[in-house]
Amino acid sequence: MTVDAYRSIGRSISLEGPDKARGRTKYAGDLSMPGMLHGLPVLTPVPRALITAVDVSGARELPGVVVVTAADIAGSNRFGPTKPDQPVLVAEGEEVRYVGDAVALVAAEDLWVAEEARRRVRISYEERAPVDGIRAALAGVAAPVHADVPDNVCARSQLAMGDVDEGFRLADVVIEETVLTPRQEHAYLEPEAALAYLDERDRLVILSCLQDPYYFGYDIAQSLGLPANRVRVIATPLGGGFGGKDDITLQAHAALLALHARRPVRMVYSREESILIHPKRHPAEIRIKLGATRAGLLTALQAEVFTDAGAYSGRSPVVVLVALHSMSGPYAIPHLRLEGTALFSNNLITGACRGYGQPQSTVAREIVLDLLAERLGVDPITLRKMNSLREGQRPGTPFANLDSEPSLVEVIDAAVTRAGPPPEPRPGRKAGRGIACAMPLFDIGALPSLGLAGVSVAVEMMVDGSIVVCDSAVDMGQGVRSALAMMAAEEFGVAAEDVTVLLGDTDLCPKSGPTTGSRQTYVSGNALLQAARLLKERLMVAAAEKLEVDPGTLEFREDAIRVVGDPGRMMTLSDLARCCYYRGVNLRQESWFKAGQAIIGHTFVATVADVDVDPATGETEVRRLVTAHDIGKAINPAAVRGQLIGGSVQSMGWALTEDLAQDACRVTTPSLSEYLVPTAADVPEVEAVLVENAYPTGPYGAKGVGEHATVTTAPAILNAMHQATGVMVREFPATPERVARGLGLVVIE
Amino acid sequence: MVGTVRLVVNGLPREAQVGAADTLLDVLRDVLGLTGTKRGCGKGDCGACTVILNGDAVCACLVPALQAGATTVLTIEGFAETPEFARYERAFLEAGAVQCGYCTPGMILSAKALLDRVAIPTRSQIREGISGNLCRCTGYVQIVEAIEFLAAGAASMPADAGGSG
Repeated sequence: MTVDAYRSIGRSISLEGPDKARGRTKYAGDLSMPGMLHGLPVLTPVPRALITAVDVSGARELPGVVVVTAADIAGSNRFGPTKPDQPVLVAEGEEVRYVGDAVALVAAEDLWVAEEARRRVRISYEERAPVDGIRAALAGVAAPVHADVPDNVCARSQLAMGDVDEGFRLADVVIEETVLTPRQEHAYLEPEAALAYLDERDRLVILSCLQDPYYFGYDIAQSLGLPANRVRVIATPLGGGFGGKDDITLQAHAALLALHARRPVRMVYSREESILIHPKRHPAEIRIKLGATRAGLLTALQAEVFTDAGAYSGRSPVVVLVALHSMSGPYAIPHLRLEGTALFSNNLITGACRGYGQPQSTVAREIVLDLLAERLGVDPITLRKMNSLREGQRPGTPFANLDSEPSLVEVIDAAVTRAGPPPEPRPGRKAGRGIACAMPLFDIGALPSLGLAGVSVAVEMMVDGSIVVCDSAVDMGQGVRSALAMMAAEEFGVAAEDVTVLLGDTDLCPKSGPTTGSRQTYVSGNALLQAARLLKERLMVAAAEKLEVDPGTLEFREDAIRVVGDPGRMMTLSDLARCCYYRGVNLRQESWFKAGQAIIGHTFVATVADVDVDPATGETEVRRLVTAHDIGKAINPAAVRGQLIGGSVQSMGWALTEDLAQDACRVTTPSLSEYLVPTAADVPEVEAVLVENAYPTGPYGAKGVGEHATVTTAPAILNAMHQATGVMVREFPATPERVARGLGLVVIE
Repeated sequence: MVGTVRLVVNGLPREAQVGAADTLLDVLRDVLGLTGTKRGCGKGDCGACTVILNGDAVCACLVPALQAGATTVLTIEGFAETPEFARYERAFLEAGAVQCGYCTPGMILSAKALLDRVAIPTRSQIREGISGNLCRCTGYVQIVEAIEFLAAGAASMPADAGGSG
């Protein structure tokens, strides 16, 4: 089939868009029910303390107020995706471990009454010295965050290939650096919200913005003491996710209040609560050492990665693992020794954030590569090309299988060509161009260590021939509804607009795993194609009998099943479905997709950044970003472009302005006027270049794409600033103060 | 409740009992059920609750409900009912300016207020005009393009670009 033969694939469609533009889409905070209560968490007043008493009597005196503490929880009161060490509510006699820990919940019909009830909860505590980050966790200056983890080590990871000592012996030049990356807030526009209620059979129903309905269902069930089959989770459309809605926050609280009050309960975080409570991008300290020959061939890479896991395990073990497995990126480096340590602290919890450990490792490697290029007197682009992985070479992770020709050189050329000549600097400014590359990984549903192995999707033909797809993936703006509709439409020869896609409901949709890891098009797409093709086979047999032809001569095209080469000989889908329905042919097919090998998908990316720096103030303006991605095949080009441009700007914020700083474990910038994400006035020209090398195992050749622009943009900007000024910022965000210091200017604190 | 506020919302006279701390956003969402106006921060930092009040784009969360009396308010639900909206919808969808959608109603109303004031804004006027509306998904490029399409009166949809369904 040639590209031109596709009816839906390759078009830019937004089936989700019209309702969103008209304000008709219901996000979780837009939902309400008769008799509904408004719930609020009672957060700890200090980052770390022993809770000696929680006095809720004053709150309970208010008429109609419901109050819940840990004593009201029937289950384990613990949850967590890798280790159940996070409490739903902290009990008397236990420690609170970060500013987002809650000790009680209140609910009332009137939000103002609930707020008054919250004010009346008296928490008695003995404050404890907090562990305020990586250095403090390593030094053991305060009591360990978890008594059963005396060294504060949440997780360790190692990765070695070849003989790194031999690799450094072969090196003529060795660069050693320490890179510090900041904590990033997802800053999705929709703060977390949930509506929980008991249905007419007393099953708990939770509607909320979340990225993994089945995981939320079973972990909330066990933590509250319910069997998993008594809980239904429905993911509402997410007003942005980026990984930050992959972990349980207020959903368990709303559920607990609803169980207790036996009334519907809605909880909606304020912006400040959202910032304090949900997991962030891990701050990291990366000690990196890179060796190369005089000619510029890389010989060895050694790195120690320390991440701040915050108070609970969350996804920290996996994030640090992914940081190591993405450390050598798209380059052939024969000798590696990498160690990663995630450390508990009393800082904000950290977890999934677009890129999942890859932005941290990539920024360290890519800025060190530029320092190496400078030392060797080699052009940074040449250095990257000469060290690119070639077919048959071993990448620096056993999880990536180079099943197609590495396309690093192709994406570099595509980005550089599109970027054209660098812009002239504005008067008085210094201009620089930087590049950064990566081999971003994406989940293909094969690695049990990611907890994501296997995906199921159901496809059904209704009795009138119309198509329904059921998938527990969630719409978080990436266009998953459109992508699944387009693929089903292509298989059945119908219009994408005529396909119904049911998403994110554990009662209606089979297990499709989390909507994370840039995986949905690949994994749900493959499961959908498997299911659709099995169903089509059955339908073809039935149609062949009716049309008196061989099933192999039939195809689904233009709203009918037709004889190839004789399209007038056909049955409409409606006739076909009715015929099958009455003959007892099963019109529904569910299919389980799991990749054969324990591997991760991979792709190649190059990003070029042009910046102007004001040498008098250290202020940086990004003029232009061009990001080129081998995306396999763009199922929906506008959606792909949206991911690439949006990811680039999110990463630009991380590079230049975004630091969710903490002082003594308290958040110093808990609002969007203090934590600065890019506005429309800040963004440069951003161009996405799509390189389409069909991926052999992807649906229609597609690869994952959602996270990948966040991996390369920050280092491209830092490298451009280095080109402009000679200053390489090793601790970012690269604020004017930090750049000015690098330039030797006097900075007034 | 401390008072009654009477205002015109989407062309209809409306009335609401409000408390001293209530905002126009509370009235729109919780009293009138107009949830197309989104709550993102409650402090005027994000622009998700942008509505057009007496012709100007404002954050509904910053307008005390008691001071909203006798005003004329247009929300996304009201704008979506007008013939003018079709052009906006087409331009935003065609440009790929709608991802998660949470900023979209406010963004569209900020765009309308801008274009009502300046028929053919420059790119920097557009960026300035929507700089109070945060978007974390798109990177703004597609939103600026959508507004440029509108300004050029060129929101024509190629035959193969869907988005109207």
